Amino acid sequence: MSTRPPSSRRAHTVTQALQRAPWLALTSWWPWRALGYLLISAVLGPLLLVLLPLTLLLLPTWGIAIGALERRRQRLLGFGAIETGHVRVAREDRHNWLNIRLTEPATWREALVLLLDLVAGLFALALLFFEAVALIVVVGVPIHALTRGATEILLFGDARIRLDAGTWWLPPVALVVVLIVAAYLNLAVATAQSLTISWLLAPRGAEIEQRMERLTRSRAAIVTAHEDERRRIERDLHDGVQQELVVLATRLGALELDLALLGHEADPARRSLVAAQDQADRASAALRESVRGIHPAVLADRGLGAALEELAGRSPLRVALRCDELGHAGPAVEAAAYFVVREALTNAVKHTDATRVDVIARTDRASLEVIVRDDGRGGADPSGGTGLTGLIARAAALDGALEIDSPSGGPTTIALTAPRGLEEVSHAHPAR
Amino acid sequence: MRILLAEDSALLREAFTALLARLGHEIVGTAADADELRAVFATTAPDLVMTDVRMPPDGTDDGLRAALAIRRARPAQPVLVLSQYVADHYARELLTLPEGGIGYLLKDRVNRISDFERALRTIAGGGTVIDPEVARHLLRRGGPDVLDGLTPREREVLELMAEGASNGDIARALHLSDAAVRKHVGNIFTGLGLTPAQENRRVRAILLFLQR
Repeated sequence: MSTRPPSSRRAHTVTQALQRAPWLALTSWWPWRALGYLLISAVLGPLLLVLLPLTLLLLPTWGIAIGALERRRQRLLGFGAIETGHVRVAREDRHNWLNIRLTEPATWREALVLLLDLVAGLFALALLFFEAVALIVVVGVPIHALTRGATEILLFGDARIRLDAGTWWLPPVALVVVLIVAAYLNLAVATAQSLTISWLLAPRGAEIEQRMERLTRSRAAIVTAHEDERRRIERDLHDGVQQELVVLATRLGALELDLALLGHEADPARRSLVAAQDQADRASAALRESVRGIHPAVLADRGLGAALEELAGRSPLRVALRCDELGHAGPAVEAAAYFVVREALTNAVKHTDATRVDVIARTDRASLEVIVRDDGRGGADPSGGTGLTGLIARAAALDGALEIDSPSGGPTTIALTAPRGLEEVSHAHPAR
Repeated sequence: MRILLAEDSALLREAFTALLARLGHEIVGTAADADELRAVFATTAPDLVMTDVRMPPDGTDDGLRAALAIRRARPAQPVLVLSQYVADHYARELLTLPEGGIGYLLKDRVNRISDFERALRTIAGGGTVIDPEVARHLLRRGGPDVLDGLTPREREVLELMAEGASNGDIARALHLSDAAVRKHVGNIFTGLGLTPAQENRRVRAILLFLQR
């Protein structure tokens, strides 16, 4: 479409063009686009006429192809592309593609579009043929008259038109009339075909809902997969580098025993040993802290309540934790809740001068709710590049919501609500 | 000391066995998972059960659960729970056991072998040893309300006591005389309204008090 700024006089779709004054409509590019649209129709019609009887059983497949084509052809007339009424077929379901498609009403509506294209295409072919004939006549006859001198044209009955020097104005007027009529016919026919097709192709409400549901489910699946991955990393670290550090600790312990046998001679070595022990302690502590940030072991082993207790214990603030009404939730939801509280506590320490934080975690039949309220000076801004932004997205992906209320002057309340997501528990917690 | 060791990693099982042997302890049995731990325990009478937390079959806190089951079966059995991560929740579960003889430590603590050996003897003797990393949290969780009555110095002494330090350890760590430490300990006990308990029971007394 146009790259110039839109003005109210300028038509953005073919229907708008039809409502404009004729001189505006006719001098725009819309008649040409309509002509292009009809030319495609005129090619499609005969093509389908030949193709269909030969491959009648493939009607739905051709329909799907036509549907895809038509969704794009809409743009030629200035309409936005039409959403598909099909569901997305996941990669692992590829082999079932046709079976899935055949059960969808959208496929059968596309088959209807195909039949419509067949009829409309033949009609467009006829229309363009007559327009071309009319054009050849109004241009060809006057040229013929010019080269051969005065010509008489026999119309119906005995009416005649004589082309000579006295009627020189007739051919140009006839040409203009033919062009105007053809342009308007093209615009009208193309618009009618296009609107019918888009009505047929547009996804129905139920189909949109179905796709929304699939989308929500796939987003939640991504978050769950992400959480599974973090748990796997935690296990890897636990069985790998953390274990190596414990073996190192036993070696340092053995070394301490060796040095004890040597008495005072070994004092310089003992100082080196203490430095090594301190260093090993720091390495282990740093690694434990990192692992806790990836996926706390207690969360996987004992659930959210125990993990929140851990957070409360580690916070320098006075944290009052209330988990009396807390039941199980899906691992991804529990992890999201854990990281929300963790982030909220970190923010309270860093930014709000809070001294006391209340953390309430509870579940009802369908959802999990976590509320963190501090007595600080507020002003927390989720857009300020804190980890809260990511957590908002994470909550949304779980079909939940993270609300941050932090007026300047305080207090700050951060609340997460999300569906419990217990259907995922069975495969993620095989043991429990 | 006769020790039963439960640890699922063969590498760590060997490293611990070698180190404990050097300390003069006898490994009366080893177990690679929680079920084996229960089975081996039934046929041996160890002075101390040492178990990892995360073990098969479930790979979560099976070792801890086995330790608690052992304690229910034989309430005075000294148990040391070791782990590569510590959690307040697990410590509190162990502290709810009616008797002493409980330890909960990070595995890395074996790098200071003399401290570790002292912890083993405390636990076998019916005392309680909680890893400093956890003890500090439990103290803080107790709430400043309770600790408000203590002086900063007394609070420092309390933290060290909760970690299982003896009066001598505290004196060395804070550069105080033994007499000064004894005075502080006495003040803390009266401040918290506790009766001066046995030396090796005081960690438990303090931590339990703070959990109320």
